[in-house]
Parts: sequence; structure tokens; C-alpha cells
Amino acid sequence: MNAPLISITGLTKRYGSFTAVDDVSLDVAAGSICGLLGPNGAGKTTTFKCLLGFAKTSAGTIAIEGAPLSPATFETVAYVPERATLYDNLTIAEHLTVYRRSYKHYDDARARELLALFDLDPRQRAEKLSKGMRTAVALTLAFSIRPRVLILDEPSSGLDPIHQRHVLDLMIDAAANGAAVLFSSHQVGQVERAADSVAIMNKGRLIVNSVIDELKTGEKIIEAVFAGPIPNLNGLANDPNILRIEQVGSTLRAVTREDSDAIAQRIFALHPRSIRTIDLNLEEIFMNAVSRDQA
Amino acid sequence: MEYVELLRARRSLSWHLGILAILTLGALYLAHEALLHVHGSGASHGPVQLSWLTWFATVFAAIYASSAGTSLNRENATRDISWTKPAPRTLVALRFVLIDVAAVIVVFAATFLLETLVLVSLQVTPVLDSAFGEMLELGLGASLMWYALIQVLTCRFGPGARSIGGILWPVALTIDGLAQVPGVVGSLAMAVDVVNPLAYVGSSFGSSSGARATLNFVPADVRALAVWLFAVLFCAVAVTIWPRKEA
Repeated sequence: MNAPLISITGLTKRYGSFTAVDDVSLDVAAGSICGLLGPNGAGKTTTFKCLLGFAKTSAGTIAIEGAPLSPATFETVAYVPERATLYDNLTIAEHLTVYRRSYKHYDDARARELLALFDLDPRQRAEKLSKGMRTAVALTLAFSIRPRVLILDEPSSGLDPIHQRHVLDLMIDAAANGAAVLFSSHQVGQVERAADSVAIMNKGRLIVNSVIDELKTGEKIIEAVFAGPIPNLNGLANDPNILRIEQVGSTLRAVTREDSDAIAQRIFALHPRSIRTIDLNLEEIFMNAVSRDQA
Repeated sequence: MEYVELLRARRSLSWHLGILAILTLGALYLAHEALLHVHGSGASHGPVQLSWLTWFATVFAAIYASSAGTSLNRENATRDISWTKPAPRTLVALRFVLIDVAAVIVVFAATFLLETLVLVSLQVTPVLDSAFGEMLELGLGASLMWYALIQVLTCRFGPGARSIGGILWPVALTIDGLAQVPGVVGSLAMAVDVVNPLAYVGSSFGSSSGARATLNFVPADVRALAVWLFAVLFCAVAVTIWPRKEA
């Protein structure tokens, strides 16, 4: 694994007695994409705020490219907030000028490419733009500085499916060129498509932090359909490798953590009409993780 | 980053100078009519001291400063952009202040020049009097102190605080008025008046214009020095206290 460009260690953020982020540690290496998932209020945006130095951390350390945050850090960091912030009285072209004058690595040709990609007219004033167009402008600005670190909070918010696809492609392209990308999304499918690792937050805590492929191979569903009612499971539910058992009619679904073959054999011994092992998709992994944590 | 403020100042200056130009054209037209119909062409008026012209320049520059003084506050609304730029916040704030100060000076100078133009067209001779230098220093200093005071009062807060730029006018006039009242209230108002730019300017023109003379007991050169010092101090405080992080 490459050296982490984003490194969060033991991050805690409290607002009075409320702990918004609780002891979160997360690394994102150069050339990789980490998708941050979590229900509303899980602490994703607060994590981003602390990571970017917007909010004072209550505990923990943050390093970008191995160093603590400083103004110079932002030369290579691009951030797209959940609600794209723009200067309302400036045109898109004027925004590009602001970036050209602010960043050493600003690439005007790249910016023009991105404007075309998102169908943006540089003469338009920001106050006249729709939510999706504002997001597109924010993304254009972010990618135009050729960042080494990308922090994107709901980067496809308000975009149509075609432009959402473009955003994923841009992230993948940036990572292929050595950037570290950390992005949050409510669309699990986007994370599954673009990210190589996933971090799941719930109630301020990081409950999953893993490479997606490992997660998928780790958890499986064994689905058995019986000819009649489901027979006595003989203590199957108590098996430590079974995360959850669902029984609907004559169908039994067992979510397993590991050693799914052994579990499958135990279920097969109950003489089902059919039995199959299904790989979990990220959405199921997310749902399982959050519901386990809630429980 | 300062480019944002440069664009904002340019836009704001265009409006302000446009209004000044319209007022000047109106005044020139009225002056032309008055000369033709009342005195006939070629009539001449008495001289006017240049120090008087600084009063209008001060008022117009302070009106501009009321809006320009909220520039750091405006940046708070776009912190996602402005807090993630590769430049120290203090430097950004300092550049914003320098652009605004330059714009206030432009408004002051433009008003002064346009006033002179109107007077000359009225065939009034502007005379350089001995108080001109002092009044210029005091007037421009008071405009900048007004700007800096608004920066201090607004730079840490949200968009709602921008109304301070307008509210401060009646508040400053009221405090200046209360400072004339004898007793505790007057003494308190007098103490607050020390940081009230209008109190310094009013006292300068007080004897002839009917404006109040709260700080008249202070020599004019000391008042001129005070407004500049307060302007610099308030700007320094605003640059320092401009937020860098949320709670």
C-alpha cells in the first residue's frame, strides 16, 4: 500500500456533551479512493470539517501528505462541500480566475475541458445557477487545480445521472494519476463502483473500514428454500459465524461472517429443497453494519 | 483570493462613482441654469475654502465605507472556498483591507474633485486655506476609521451583521447627540464618542455648519492623528479576530 496522503488518527469532535465524531482513524493512500458511508448525522461532514481545519478537533491528529494542516497544504487539496459554495456575484469565468490566481498548479485547459464536460457556460453568474450546476462548477474548480488530495462531500448532489457518471470517472482518473480521494455519498452504488475501500460511520463512530473486495468475500448470504415450513434450526442461530438469520415463509437466509461453507453444510443437513450462497453487495454490507451497530 | 475583493470593490465603486457622476451632472445643470437666469452669463461668486469640500468627501467616502467595511464578513459566507486556499488567513484579510482602503480613498478623492468641478462651473473660486491639510487628514482618516470600525463589528459574525453598516449611522449620531447632554448619560456617551468617527468630523465643522462639537476641546491636529490611529488599530483588530475555525 502507498503512503497515506490523508491520515486521520483518533479524531474526536465534541459539541458540548454531544460527541459528533468519536475516535475515528482512517487512512487514504495515494492512488486510492475511499467512500465514506453513513446515515444522516453519522458524523461524515463533521469529519470533513475537522480534516480541513474548519472545526477545532477535541482530540486526535490529522495529516495531509504526512504533515499537519497549513495554508501551504491547500495547494494540493481540493474540497467540494455538500452544498457547493460559490461567490454569487461572480461569473463562472471569474471563479476560474480566482483559482488561477490562487493555485500554482491550476490548469486552465483542464478547467475548460471540465466546463465542456458539465455543459457550463463560463459567462453565467453563480447566483443564477441551479443546485446541480453549482455542484458542477465546484467540481470543475476542484479538479482544475490537479489536486493530490480530493475531499468530496456528496459530490454528485443535484447532478443528473450522466454527470454523476462523469464525477465517478473523474475520481477514478484522479486516483489513477496518484491522488487520494475521500468522498461521502448516500448512493452506495456510487461507492461500490468508484471506491476501492469503504468506511462506514454511525453515530460518530467508524464501524467499518475495509477494502471493499475483502468485505464482500468476508460476508455471504446462504439462502435455503424448504418444501414446507422451516424445520428446527438446532441452535444454528447461536453459531458465532452467523451474523443474522431471516426466516420468511419457507425461505431461510443466514448472513455469515466467515466459513460460509461449514454453515451451508449445516443448513444442507436440514434437507432444503434448494440452497445457494450469495455474495453480499455493498448495500447489504452497509445495512448489516448499521443495523448491527444500532442493535 | 484578493481578486474576489478586487472585483467586488470594482463593482461597488462603479455604482458609487456612477451615482456621484449623476449628482454632479445634476448640480452642473442647475448651476448652469442659475448662472444664465439669475446672474446672466459671466457672473462671478465669492471664493470657497477648499477645507469645506472635504466634508462632503468625508460623508461620501463613509457611505462607501459602510458597505466596504463588511468585506471580511462577506467572506464568512463562503468559507468552504476561502478557508481552503493556499494562503494564510491573516494575509488574505490584510489584502482585503488594503483593497478596501484604496477604494475608500478613491471615493474620497473623486467626490472632492467632482465638488471642485461643480464649484468651478458655478464660477466659484476654491481657495486653499490654512485648515485644508488638517481637514483633509481628518476627513479621510474619519472615513477610514468608519470603515475599520464596521470591519471590527462585523468580521466575526454571519450575514445578518452586515446591517451594522447601515444601523451604525443613526447609532453614531445618537451617541454624539447624547454626549451633549449634561450628567452621567452625557459622560458615558462622551466616553463612547471616543471611538465614534462622526464625533471627530462633526466637531471640525461645528462652528459654522451647525454640526455638534463633541470633541471640539481637542485640538484638530490631535483629532486628525486620533482618527488615523483608530483606523489602523481597528483594521489590525479585524484582521486578527477574523475567524479561522468554527467552534
